[in-house]
Order: sequence, then structure tokens, then C-alpha cells
Amino acid sequence: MRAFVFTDRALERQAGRFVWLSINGEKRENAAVTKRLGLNAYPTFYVLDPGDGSVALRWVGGATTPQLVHILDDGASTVARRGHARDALARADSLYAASSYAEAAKEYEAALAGKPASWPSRRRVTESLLFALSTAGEYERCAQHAAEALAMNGRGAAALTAAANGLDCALSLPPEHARRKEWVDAFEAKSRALVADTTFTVSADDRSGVYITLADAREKAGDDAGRKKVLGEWASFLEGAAARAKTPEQRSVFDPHRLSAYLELEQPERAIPMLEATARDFPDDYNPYQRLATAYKAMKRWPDALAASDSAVARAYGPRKLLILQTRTDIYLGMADSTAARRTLDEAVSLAEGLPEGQRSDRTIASLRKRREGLGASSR
Amino acid sequence: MSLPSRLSPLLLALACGASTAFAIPATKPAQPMVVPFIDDDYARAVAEARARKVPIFVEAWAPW
Repeated sequence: MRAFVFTDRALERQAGRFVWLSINGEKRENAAVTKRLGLNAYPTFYVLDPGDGSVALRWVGGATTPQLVHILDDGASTVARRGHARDALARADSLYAASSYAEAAKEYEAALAGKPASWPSRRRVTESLLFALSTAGEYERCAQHAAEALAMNGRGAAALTAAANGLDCALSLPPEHARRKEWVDAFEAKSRALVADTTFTVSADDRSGVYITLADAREKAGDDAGRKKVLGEWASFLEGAAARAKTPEQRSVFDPHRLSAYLELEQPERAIPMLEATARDFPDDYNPYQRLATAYKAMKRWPDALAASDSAVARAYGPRKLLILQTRTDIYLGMADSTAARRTLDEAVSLAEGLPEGQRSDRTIASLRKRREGLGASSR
Repeated sequence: MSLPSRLSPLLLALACGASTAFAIPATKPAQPMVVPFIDDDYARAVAEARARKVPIFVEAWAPW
């Protein structure tokens, strides 16, 4: 978003409509704000009512510039209608903002009912509805709504996201569900057709996510060759997007998905040149070093993995350092150094327990403790 | 497969360190932002929004 959308001149006319606040959720001093906002995913965008600071609208995930403009319009509209009789959409957005997904879905359904296909908020509301239903475990309704959205509009970015979200939900249905196969086949075919269609604009983030879902569909079908084919197409798409980037910032945003693709293809060595380039371009950033450590770990090049992990640990802060220490633990175990592995996990547990409220996760602490107990007592 | 699916894993991002979102370099982009972001200062944003009577847009992000 920072490299592509917030630098887009098309947003200039929006500047005066809002106060713009950027919150790095990994910083300790922002823990109280992230707790207040109920932040649980990156990136998340909020529109807040200036009167009481309450959340009027929340959007999880990336967006293109036109999508962001819709989010801004809807958020400003919801704030303006506060204090008046609220319609279903305002109620839905408030419930969604409060993570009350099942209730939000009902209001989004009410908001969509009777609206024409050309309703400007249709795509934003449909995506929020599908996300809410999926998160609430309402996979059948999610698939049904995705099918209806596709029947209304089978082309372009809205159709791609509806097809992919529908596929995600259909894949989550139990195998015995009467319509699972029909939906999976239809959504997969539509997703495949649209993901490679470059005649419309969709965020690279969204398009990359569709490849992930398509690979998941092939895996669940037991089709390893098909899965590998999708993963290869995904890697090619990401490499093309990175090659077209105008700045190192834009190029490096594709690093994590490219690394995932290479790991899934069991070709981690393909990640090394791009990560070394990012490390040169952003010497203070822990990410390329952590990703190098992950790639070298997959290659079982333990000394290289440990050296990269040293660089990552030295630069890391906040909750992300826990993941870095877990990767480091894996590396020590790969080197058969269980003493260092235990020491590293002790450090991780201590760090996790010391995080401020809003960043501290009981589930993460329990998971780290369990893993530490699994390694046995420290030898003296 | 260790890949996350597209929807629900976003919600797990803080808990398990997985995310489907693209990374953001820790360094500020070389290209200028076209909207005037206030960095990491919620109180200042609220005060400004109340004075100007406009909503607050919040971008919550992580450098990974």
C-alpha cells in the first residue's frame, strides 16, 4: 500500500477530507492504540468518528487506489450519518468494526437486498460480507453469496475476488455437502480464467492471493502436478510484478510471497538473489535477513542460516521478533545444538511475556512454552 | 501445504506471524506520500480531527 497506493497522485484530492494517521503496530508505544482498535491483522484500515474516536468502518487487507477511495467515501458517509437513524449498511460496518461477524453479515445482507448491480458500494460491501461469513464459519452462505455476485457480474476485479472468496469458502465445506463439488468446480474455473486476465486492474496482493487459493484447491483435489503448475504460475506472476517495479520499495513488497512460492516449489535457492538485493537496499530492515535465514534453513545451509538470523535478531523489535527467534530455534535444532535451541526459546518466552497489552498473546505464550517443554530441561 | 488461505489467516497475523499481505519495507518509501500522514501519534490525530471536524483515516501496518 505504501509503495503503490499512498504514493498515487490520484489520492491528492482526498488529502483534506481526513486526518491521516499511520500506526506501526509493532511499536511498543502503539500497543494501547492497537488494543483500542482491536487490531488483529495487517494491514487494516479504519475510519474513525472524530467525536468519540469510535470505529465507523474497518477494512482488512490491501486495496487498489479506486477501492481505497470507495472505503474513504463509505467511511466518511457513515460518520456523517452518526446521530441519525442508521441504515443497515451503517449498522453492518459498526458490527464488522467490532468483529461481530455473524451479526455484521446479516446487516450486510440487508444492505445488499434490492440494490441495483451498479450500486457503487456493492463490491466493498460484498467483500466485507464474504469475509464476515468466512470468518464466522458460515461457508455455505459465503459460497451462495459469491455465486450470486458472480451471476450479477462475471467480469473484472469484483468477479475475481468473488470467485476466489467463494472458492475458499467452498473448499471449507464438509466433503459430503451436496453442493461442494459444484461450487468448487465453478469457482475454481472462474478464478483460473480471471487470475491471468490482465485487462482489468486488481491489486497484486489480491491476485497473488488467488494463486494461493488455486494451489490449495489442487492440493485438496489430490492433484500434486496441478498444484505445482499453479505454484509455478504464481512464482512467474510475482517475478513479473517485481520486474515491473519502479523502485526498490515496490520490488521488495513481493519478497514474502515470492519466498513462499519458492519454498512450496522446494526451490528455496531462487529466493537468495532477491533477498540479498533487498538487504543491500534496506540495510536496517530485519525482513530480508529473516527471509534469508528461512531460505538457507530450507536449503540446510546452517551456518549461512545462522549468520542471517544473527542479522535479523540484531535489527528486530516487537512481536515479530518471536517468529525470528523460532526460526533461529529451528536452525539450532538443524545444527543438532539443542542447548542453544533451548536458550533461544527461553529468550522467546521471556520476550513474549514482556510484551505490552495489545501486543501480548496468551496463545503465543502457551505455544512457545509448550515447544520449550518439548525440548526438555536445560543441561548444566 | 503451509500456505495460508486467503481470508481467515489475516486474522491470525498477530498471533502466529503469518500473513497473506505483502510486506512493507522498514524504511520509508523514496516516493513521497500524497496524503499527510501523522506517524504513531493517536492523540495528535484526534485533536486535529476534532478541530477540523473531519474523520480520521488510520493505516495500521507492520514492517513485515
